[in-house]
Amino acid sequence: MFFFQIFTDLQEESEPDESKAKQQKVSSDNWVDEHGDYLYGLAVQRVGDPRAAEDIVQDTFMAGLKALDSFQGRSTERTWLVSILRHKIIDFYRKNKRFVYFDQDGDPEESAAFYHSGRLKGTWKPEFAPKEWFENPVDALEKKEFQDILQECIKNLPKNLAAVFTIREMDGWSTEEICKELKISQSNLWVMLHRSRMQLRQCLEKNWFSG
Amino acid sequence: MTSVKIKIMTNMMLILNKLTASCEIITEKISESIDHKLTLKERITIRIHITFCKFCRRYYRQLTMMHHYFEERLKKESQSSPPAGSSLSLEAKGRIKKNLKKNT
Repeated sequence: MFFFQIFTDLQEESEPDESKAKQQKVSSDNWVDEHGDYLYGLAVQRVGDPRAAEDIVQDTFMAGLKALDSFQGRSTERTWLVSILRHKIIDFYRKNKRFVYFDQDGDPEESAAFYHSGRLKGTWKPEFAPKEWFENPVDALEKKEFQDILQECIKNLPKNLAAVFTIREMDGWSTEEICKELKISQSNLWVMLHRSRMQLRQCLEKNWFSG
Repeated sequence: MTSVKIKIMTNMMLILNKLTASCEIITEKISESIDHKLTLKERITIRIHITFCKFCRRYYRQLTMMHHYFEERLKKESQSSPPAGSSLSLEAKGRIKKNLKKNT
């Protein structure tokens, strides 16, 4: 009885190795069906372009298959794939640095336009001064119309501002990590984030929060 | 509002801006406070300014709420509810499956 148990234990141990290759093949097809749409939805939100989003999803699966050994079931498969996707998004923006000029921090005129110049220098212009919001954005979390407007407002930002805002707020990377990845200075990034928040706040207020 | 009232308020704003910093600079610092820890002096300056300036006070509150919104969304995302709208076409799924097989 005891020997028999050892024997079956051994058998069980050797089993995973044999079927590993097969398992990988099976899971790659399953992955696309099970998580493809979900990951694609996240990618479209972050890069806008459908074709680029498709490539990012494919890269995510590819990296996932390669790193399958490191996935130890500590998180769900989906959470794990999403974290790979977040890396792929930042990779995408790094590769597109040529098209998104991170070294220019946007049009300074654009945010200066929010304030008076001259005698009243640096105070809010009445038309841009923040109004009272009728709702806390957190309460709009589940509302599709709000998400659409937010998406539209981000899309309307200058490209470099939209990119840093997406990486910072939508994917939650720290500013240190972003600077390292995109090779830009902290102060440069802070100014870009400031301008993106300023313009985004204005757009959301106009289209949603002033009701 | 009468023109006298407006004049008084404007002058008060200008005094506040001299004592702390202009709204333009305060809003920049408010944004930075989301990204890194400000110095004690900077934090006190913001506090004093937003106590008296209702626009910057709203700005501070709204930016904080927006940041909180994205934090909550991030938490939700790694659970399960899928983002509404876009999904991969059948052709796209086929393309991805084929490419994955080629590369493994």
